[in-house]
Amino acid sequence: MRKNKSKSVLIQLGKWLLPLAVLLALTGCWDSDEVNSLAIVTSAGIDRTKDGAIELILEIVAPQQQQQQSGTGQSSGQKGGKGTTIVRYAIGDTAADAQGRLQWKLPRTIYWGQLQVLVVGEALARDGLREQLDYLVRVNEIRLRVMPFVTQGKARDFFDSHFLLEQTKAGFLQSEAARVFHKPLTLGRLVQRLSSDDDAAVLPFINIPEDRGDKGGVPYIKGYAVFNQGRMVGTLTGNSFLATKWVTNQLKNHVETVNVGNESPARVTYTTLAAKSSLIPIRRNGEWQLNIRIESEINMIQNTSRLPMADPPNARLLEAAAAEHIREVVTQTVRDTQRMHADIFAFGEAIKRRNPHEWSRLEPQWNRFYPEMDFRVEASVKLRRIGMNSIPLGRQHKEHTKP
Amino acid sequence: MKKRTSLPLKTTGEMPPSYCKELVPSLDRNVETLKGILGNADDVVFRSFRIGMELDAQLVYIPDMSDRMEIDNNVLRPLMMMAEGQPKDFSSIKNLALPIGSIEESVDAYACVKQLIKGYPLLLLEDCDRALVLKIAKWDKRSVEEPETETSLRGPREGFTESISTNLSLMRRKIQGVNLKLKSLRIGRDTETEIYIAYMEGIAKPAMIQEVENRLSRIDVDSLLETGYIEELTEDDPYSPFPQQQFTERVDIAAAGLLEGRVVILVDGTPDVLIVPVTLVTLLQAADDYYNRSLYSSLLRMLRYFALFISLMLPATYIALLTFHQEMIPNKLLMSIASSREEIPFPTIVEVLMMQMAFEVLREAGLRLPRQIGSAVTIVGALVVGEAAVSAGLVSAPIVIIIAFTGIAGFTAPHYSLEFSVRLLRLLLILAGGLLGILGVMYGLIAIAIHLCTLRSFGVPYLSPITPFAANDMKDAVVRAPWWTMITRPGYSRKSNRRRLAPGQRPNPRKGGER
Repeated sequence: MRKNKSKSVLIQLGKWLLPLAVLLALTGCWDSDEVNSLAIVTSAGIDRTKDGAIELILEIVAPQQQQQQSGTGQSSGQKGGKGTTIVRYAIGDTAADAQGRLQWKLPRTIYWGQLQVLVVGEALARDGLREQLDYLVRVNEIRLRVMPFVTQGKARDFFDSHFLLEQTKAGFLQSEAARVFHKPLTLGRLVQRLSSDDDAAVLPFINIPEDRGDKGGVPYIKGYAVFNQGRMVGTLTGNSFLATKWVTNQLKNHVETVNVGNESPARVTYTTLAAKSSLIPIRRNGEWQLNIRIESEINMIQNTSRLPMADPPNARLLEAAAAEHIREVVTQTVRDTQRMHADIFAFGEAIKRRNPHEWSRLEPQWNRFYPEMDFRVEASVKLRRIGMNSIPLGRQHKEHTKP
Repeated sequence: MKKRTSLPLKTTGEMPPSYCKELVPSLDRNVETLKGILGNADDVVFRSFRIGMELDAQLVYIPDMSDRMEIDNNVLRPLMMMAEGQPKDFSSIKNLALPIGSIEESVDAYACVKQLIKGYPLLLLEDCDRALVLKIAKWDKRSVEEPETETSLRGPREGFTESISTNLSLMRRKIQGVNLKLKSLRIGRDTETEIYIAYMEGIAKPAMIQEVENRLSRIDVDSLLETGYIEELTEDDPYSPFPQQQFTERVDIAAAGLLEGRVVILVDGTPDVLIVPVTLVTLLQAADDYYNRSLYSSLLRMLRYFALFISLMLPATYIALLTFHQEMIPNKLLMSIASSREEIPFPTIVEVLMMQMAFEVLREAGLRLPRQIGSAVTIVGALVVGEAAVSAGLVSAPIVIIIAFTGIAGFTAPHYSLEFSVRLLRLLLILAGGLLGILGVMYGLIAIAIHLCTLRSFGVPYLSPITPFAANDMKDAVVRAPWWTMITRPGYSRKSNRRRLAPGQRPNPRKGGER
């Protein structure tokens, strides 16, 4: 009797332990990775070498400063300040191949989960980005929130450049993008754009100023790189950059100056408080026409003219000048993109939404149709704030009454 | 296994008939009988004296259990000073000579001995076949103090003591209505511990009272030294990590339990009383909640829920994130964690288990050591273990923060039996998180949730009123609604008498003018 009981206890115990053992065998600790066995990648660069191979550059978190040794002769650890990251690169046939080669030289496993920015070299961008993008989208560790950028010149130049404000290059680019754009582009959006019907996209374009002495200039976002069919076809900088941001609702931290009236020192500088643009496709005489409607509210921050903006007629004058300015630059920019055959503003998408049936007819010849498409820019600007000083400095109040 | 021999067990007090021994009308023989039953009881004093110089008598008592003053002044003095002419038969001595509040007669020697052992002196008279039991017991007991384990900022400070008579009087003083019923029974072959079941008639469910009585009557043990014995012998699920009965030293908590329709079990010899049934929600209600204003109480109660959850989940989540899901940690945080972990030789799970163990050891040591040393050891230990371990590179700094915060968050539980269960489950979750990552933590959470859903305390679902949902009882679950909204009692009270207070008592300036 006693024996029976102990046996049944064993069976009972087994009933509990067996599933547990199976559970442990099913999935388990081999998936685990301690943080200090990982090479955490925060930013990656992809570029094309002259002989057509792919170069992969990784910025890896170095938890300690002593990892400044350049044993392979290929690292370029950051000097000065708190060197929190190191940069390693490797060359291979594809991005994945380069990654594999880079892994040989690294004692720790490359970990993509913390990748934040992707920097594409101009050469690769012009040659075609799509093939290498495949790897980044395919690897399950990489999140689609990665921000892609295109850099002028070689991607390696960007990683070799010096800047001191941020700890990592990824952090630098992120804060740069957050400063320039309302809602920075992500890898996920880029892939969507590239696989949409328009097949055109824009990526932020980083400029690295020329070396001045031994110190390289600090890189900054200069404009947009325009992609068509997966290849970079040109850039939009200066006013075009601004106009693109206007149309794509990406405007942020933006200061502009226009001339008001006919007096000689009549420049008025303002910031934009709010801006909203919408694309409205309409049929006119059997042809599609696109209305780009931009509404914005501005805040005047400097007035060098002699016109007191507290007066409604003068305010109207400024609003008209600002609207004219917007109209001008946007028109010019859309013309540029038409020249590049790149429908970066998704006109096609707008037409498709309005009339999907019509779009199926237009789609095959869209690439031909787009450059000749008619469009109109409607800008309306409202002056919302004029600051603390209602009358321009040094101006006698009496003069105001003069016509 | 050997079959248990049936002993003459009786838990309810009276001796079996074979143990009866009648007293006879002879003082000497009765004294002999008592001595025979007592055996080697050298602490019993047999004081022989003469009543009014005529009648021989024996006073039998145990010195430190009886009131010496009372014996001298109200028993010996009047009896010895009795005048010669006064009647000296049994009933006149009982009725005329002894100015004592409570006197009983007894004809059975065994019954006499039982009373004697309780501290009641016996008075035996010559030529009399019965004894007088003088109920003047008095033994040293602790005075009513504030319970140290359950403190509150506001509210009564008195706590139960080891003496059940004191405890009963404390209860009676809190609830002076006649509906407070106290049922007595004795459990324990050797200890014969006095137990009282307290409940409010008309508020507690009769079925609940019956269930408590049934479960208590099933208990058959030799000793009952603490309510913990009862707790383990009457639990619904003995292997559950969650407490299914609440214990408290505070009179107000017990009284509040009674008034919500719960049943309180008092045991002689321990200041802890048991309250049944409990739910997870009641274990998170602190006495302060009902004394402070409802807004603060609600905030603090929500904080308590949050802290308990943190205490359960934090280390497990940390391990899971750090070893399996590094992508879920913000980049900069990961960088700083990585640099602090750089020199640590152990995997994260070992680190956590080490620190967790150090924390538990310190805690246990602090509990066991004399109070004066205890606090010093805990503080020094925490400083030493935390600071030195980090600077020696044994554990990383985030771990110390996490373990310390986890431990402290656990202390917010108002009833520390719940904190025990959280500690236990935390350990399981740590292992699950270390083996399977977030998946494991989720498995663990789901298992806990399933277990909580099946658990019952004296028939009341453990998660009520959250599930099964009872909208009416949510007023005292996550928040503590103002008193004027607490119109009904909780769902485990008697259905026919739920109304607790009259509706429409919300204070209002316009009500001020009522005349």
